[in-house]
Amino acid sequence: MQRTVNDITTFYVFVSVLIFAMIFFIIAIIIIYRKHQVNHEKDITQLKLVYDKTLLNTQLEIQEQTFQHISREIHDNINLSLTLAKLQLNTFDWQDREKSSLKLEMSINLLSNSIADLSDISRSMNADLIAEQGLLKALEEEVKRIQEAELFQLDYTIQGSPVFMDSNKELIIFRIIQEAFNNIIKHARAKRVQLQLNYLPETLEVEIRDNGRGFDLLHCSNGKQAGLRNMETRAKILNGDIKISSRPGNGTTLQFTIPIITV
Amino acid sequence: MPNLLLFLSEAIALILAIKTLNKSLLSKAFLIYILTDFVILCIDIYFHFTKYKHSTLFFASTNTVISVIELNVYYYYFYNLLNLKKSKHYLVIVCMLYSTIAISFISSQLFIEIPRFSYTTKLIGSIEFALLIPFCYLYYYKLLNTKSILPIFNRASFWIITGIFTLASISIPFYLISSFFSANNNENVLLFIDLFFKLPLIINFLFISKAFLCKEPLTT
Repeated sequence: MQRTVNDITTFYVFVSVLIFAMIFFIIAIIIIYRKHQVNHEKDITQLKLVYDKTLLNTQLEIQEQTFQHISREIHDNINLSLTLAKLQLNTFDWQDREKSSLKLEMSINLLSNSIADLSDISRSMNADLIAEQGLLKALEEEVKRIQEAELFQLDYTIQGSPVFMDSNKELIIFRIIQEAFNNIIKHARAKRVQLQLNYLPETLEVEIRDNGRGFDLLHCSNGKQAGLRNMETRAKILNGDIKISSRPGNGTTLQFTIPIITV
Repeated sequence: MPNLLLFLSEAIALILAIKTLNKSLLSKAFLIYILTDFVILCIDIYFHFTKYKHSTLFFASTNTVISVIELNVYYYYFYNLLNLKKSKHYLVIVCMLYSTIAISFISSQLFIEIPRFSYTTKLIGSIEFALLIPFCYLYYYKLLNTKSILPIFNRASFWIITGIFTLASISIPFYLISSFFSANNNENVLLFIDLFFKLPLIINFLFISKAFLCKEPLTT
């Protein structure tokens, strides 16, 4: 009888120790997990800060490039048209009605062109359109603008189910594509350009392919290298990858992949 | 009183399992597990009140049936939760082997009188819990190596695993020694059953209920 009581007591002691050990173990798990969670939250905040800083730098860089682009456009096109219009009007002869009428018509044409150029610049630089209507609408407008200029045949396709992303992210994607188009207009002498957006479950794949004169990636000019580097930097900010393949005489293909889901 | 608490905890778990039932096999598996347990508990309570003479035999047999369902459901859960694709064959073999042995054992009782039947069913139950515990530790190990900002109490998996871990850890010694208590006609045997069997079971079902309330998938 005494032995049975002892056995029962031993059992109770054993189970009590077991229960306390288990409770202690679970509390330890909760505390360690909480510590890890706090550390991870700190890491994420740190990463977010770095990301925001890089994003801000890129935005400033984009802004700077935009100003340069506006300045160049004003100088090369609008300034020229307005100067010519001014010249026409300065040499306006009220006596010679036939010649004056011709000059007036030319001046009106030049002013119209300048207004159209200004409107184009305004449309292409407008980041609000992306914030308000998204990347696809902005790209549609951009494609329309280029198609209207009739510089080359531009095909635009979208595959997969489009996803709305953060407007800052969409702006950077838009600027990469815009930079690629600017390069094609300036250097490629292409007859046909294809822009393709492929929305995959986790990534967005963009491909811009032209049949222009291409270039040697190893021996391209500093300006061109800077342009390519800009695109690379922008893609990297979005944790993306960019690939450019080109050979003289064989056109150029630019491919970049951006993850849709970010930290 | 403990029976009432157990009934309530299982009823809550069952209602929540039905309420959060979705197309996933896992959610259906948990519903089947809770429903079976609940139905058996109701019959058990009924037998208890009517003082049915074979209630001990019924309790021992149904406990083994539940342990088979429990092992299969939890192994399927561990397979999904811990992404045990490489151990798939091991899990399937263990489940099949355990189910075959357990079912054959209780079926054979219908034809021949097995000596120490009740004790053997408890031994089988202990083996089931012993098979579950290593995966609980594996889960905790993986949990501590997960980088996540999701609070631990919002993780459905934490509640489910902690529930079964508590039940398994406390029930193993209970199963192994309960026959000794009964054999010695110990006056504390009822308290002993309540404390080391029903209480962990209540905790398990309450934790499962909490997991359903997390509004996250069960494998989160």
